[in-house]
Amino acid sequence: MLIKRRSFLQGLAGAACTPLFLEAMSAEAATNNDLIVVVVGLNGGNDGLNTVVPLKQYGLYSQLRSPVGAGDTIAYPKSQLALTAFDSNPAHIPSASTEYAFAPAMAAMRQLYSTGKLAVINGIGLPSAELAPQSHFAGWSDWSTGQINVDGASIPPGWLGAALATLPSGALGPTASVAGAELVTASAASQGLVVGRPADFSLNIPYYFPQFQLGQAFQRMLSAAQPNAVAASARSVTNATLGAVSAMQGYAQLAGDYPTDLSDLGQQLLSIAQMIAGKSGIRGFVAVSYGYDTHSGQNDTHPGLVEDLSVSMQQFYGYLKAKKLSSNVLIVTISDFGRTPSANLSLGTDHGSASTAFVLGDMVTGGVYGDYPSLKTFDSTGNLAVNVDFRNMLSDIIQALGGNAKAVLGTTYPKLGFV
Amino acid sequence: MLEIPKIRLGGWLAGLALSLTIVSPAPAADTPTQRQQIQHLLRRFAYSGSPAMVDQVVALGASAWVDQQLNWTTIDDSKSMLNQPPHKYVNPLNCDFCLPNYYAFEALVYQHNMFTNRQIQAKMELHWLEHFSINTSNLDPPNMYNYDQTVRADALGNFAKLVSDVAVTPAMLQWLNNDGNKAKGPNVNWARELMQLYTTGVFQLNQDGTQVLNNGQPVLNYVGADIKAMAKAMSGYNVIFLQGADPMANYTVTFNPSLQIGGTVSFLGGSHTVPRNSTAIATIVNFLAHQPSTAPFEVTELLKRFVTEKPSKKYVSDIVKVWNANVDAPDQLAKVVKAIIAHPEFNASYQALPKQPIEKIFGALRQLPGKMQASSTKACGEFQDFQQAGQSLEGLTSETGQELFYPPNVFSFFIPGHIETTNTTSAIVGQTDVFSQLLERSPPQSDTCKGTGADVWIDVPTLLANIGSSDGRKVANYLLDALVDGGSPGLRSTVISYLGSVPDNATIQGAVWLILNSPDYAVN
Repeated sequence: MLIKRRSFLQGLAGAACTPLFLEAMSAEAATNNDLIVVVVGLNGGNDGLNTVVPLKQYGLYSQLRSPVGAGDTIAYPKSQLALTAFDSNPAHIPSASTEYAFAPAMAAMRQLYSTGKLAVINGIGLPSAELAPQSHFAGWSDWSTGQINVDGASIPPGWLGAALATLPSGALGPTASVAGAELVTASAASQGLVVGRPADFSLNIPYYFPQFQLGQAFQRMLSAAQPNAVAASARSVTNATLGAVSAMQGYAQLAGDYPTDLSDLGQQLLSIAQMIAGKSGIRGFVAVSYGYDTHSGQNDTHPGLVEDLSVSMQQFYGYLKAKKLSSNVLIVTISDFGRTPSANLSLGTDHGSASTAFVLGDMVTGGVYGDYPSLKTFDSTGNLAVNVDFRNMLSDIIQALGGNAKAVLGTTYPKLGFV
Repeated sequence: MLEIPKIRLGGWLAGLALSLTIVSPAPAADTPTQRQQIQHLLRRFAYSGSPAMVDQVVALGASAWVDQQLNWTTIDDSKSMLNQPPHKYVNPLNCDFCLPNYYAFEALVYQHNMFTNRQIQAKMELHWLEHFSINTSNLDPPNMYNYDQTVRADALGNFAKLVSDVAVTPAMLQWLNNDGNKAKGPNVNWARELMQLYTTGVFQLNQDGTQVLNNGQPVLNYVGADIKAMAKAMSGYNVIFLQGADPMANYTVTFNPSLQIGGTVSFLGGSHTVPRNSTAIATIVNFLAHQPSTAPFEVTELLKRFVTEKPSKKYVSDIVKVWNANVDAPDQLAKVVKAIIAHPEFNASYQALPKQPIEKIFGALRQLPGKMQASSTKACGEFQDFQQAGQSLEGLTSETGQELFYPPNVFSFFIPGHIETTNTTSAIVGQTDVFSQLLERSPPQSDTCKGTGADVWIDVPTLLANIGSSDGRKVANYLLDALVDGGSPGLRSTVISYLGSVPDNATIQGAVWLILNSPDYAVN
């Protein structure tokens, strides 16, 4: 049987040499009021057109999404969109709204919109479609770094990691991903914490090992000079892991009253909620929902994905709100790119340009930002034209964090005004 | 609200950057010995080897071993599986899309790659599986099994044949949505990824791997119109389910020319003749395989995975020449591998690459006496033993974030050149648990049905017998040689001190755990 690693950790702490973590204790600590940003990645390239439908262009929408010869459509019937319709003014109820509609499965998002704390940013993407190879790699790294990366060999740090690297944070560091290694939370110096579930972030060592001595030996090993850069990097990550184990076990006890029966995204957001509730000092998080690369049979999957997004965001925000933890939390969605205006005969959509992003939080001025792209005239690649440079949205968020948007993004942008 | 007190143990992460400067780097390592060079070769182009295997390759000579490996059909592979044919376990008639069949399929692959004597082929199989990066979710296990067998068979063959063969497997047709694609309104997923991920890459490359620049800007290999034209020419394939006696042959691929637009097709700046039959994809793949960017794109990826994340321009161009000279040869990839290993930069890359998690786990089981339980029917019956062992391996790799057939996206587990992204805090947590489990399971326990049993483990009694001494320093020397080429001075002194003069078995196991979780062991 395996047991917990208490003796092992005691051995670590009791080692004669100075633990490396002590060297970092002078780092400036975050306060409980510092802004926390939670990025929700929609991996694969979200179809903005079937996420937020422009009701004033419904005829064109229906035509584009009903390919000749398919015998079917991926356009939502207008009647289904009535319940999730919304206007630029969040106070308008669905029956009085004529401008837009969320996908019918996004009833939870519609409810969030009515709170006046959800910003819908239309027509967002890379400013020049010609620059974008519309590859997943390029799209995801662009949105993760806030820079248009044409050379995959030298990837800059993530915009959130870079922004937070110079700002106060807690002892565990500035960022954590609950979705594996993600670029958006990586800084130039560190990948940041990667956590599955806090409850699983523990060390299991066979009980019959001489654990105290093993802990001492481990500490000694990690304090020694490393023979090469690869080993030095491995040592750093191991140190970060050991430093976070006890805290994560504590966070795992929190949020016991969070909704149950969670999706994968919901579970990721629960993990983040636990770290926020535990006052971890971590100020940048990323969760990722997969499956948005809907080349065929889109209506078999996309409605479920955006429903999951809506419900998971509502659960997360609702929990934080109920616990009075929401005042300094901002949730933002990113995706690789939008998708083609026309559906193909596989009843899917291919890689495109402009899409829709959401920003949610107490400090958000809810409403619609950015003009919806025309469904009649497209950009030079035949895709939805971008009206809002994605870096503009990131710039507003970085500034809200107190970060230097120009240093991270390379230039300045006018405020969109959602925060 | 319960508030967690500030944990003063925290800050290790914030200390990362500091720790790099606080601790001075060790002096540069001496030139690797011949034995270390063999260990290096076995780490990169095998899943490592035991001290005895290292001895054998030292005696044989690296070049002779490589030649033997590249002539893989002559290597006896009969012991690579725990004796069960796949059909019984990968049977959609018995259990359509149910979990045990996925485990069974994965078990077959994991076990083979662990135990096969065709280790270079197995390592190349891993490379190509990561290259194609098909995720098994929603794909029928027989299709994934056949896809894997296709990759394995072509792993050291001809690149164009490999890509063409994989392209028309039901798994790939379904994965990238080319199954049922119609030219009159094609989805372009397959056509785009065929170029972007599998052949040319996005940007035009020089033969040394650098980007072609036009006014300082990179130049795209293709535009949307190319993708669309190629998608139309590669439409018409359909995966058909034929429920028959042999579940492995239940799926077949048909071609319907009425759904394709072939003949003379314009793309990538020229007109091309694409047949209106099932060889359409092979024709286009063959064309792409001869595009100037394909060789540097593929060679750079190979070098980044197997040798160094920063290959020199000369290394790339030297290997590209071999690639191009053999572009139509049936053993093109074997010749490329031979050239990669023979190049001076291969040995110069000693200890310059991080290991992938799967290499850490398979390596531990191959460098030390790893065991898997032999096949026999279990009373509790849901899984056969060998399935359970494979399932355990799959679970162990999953804990470290690298479950082979569940890559998170089209870049697989890492972007070539960025293996360090697999070395996460979460992976370290998983790794410490994995190595605990492998050691905890020795000797075997009886209750395999509840998932706590000894289906795959490091066999400590055999390890002790192999060491042949209870002297602490000898034990340390054996373990350090077996796992980390002797180890760095800091690790050596730590392990020697920890073991003491006459360690008991638990302490020896602890030392194994220590080394497996050391920074030294993370180095490839």
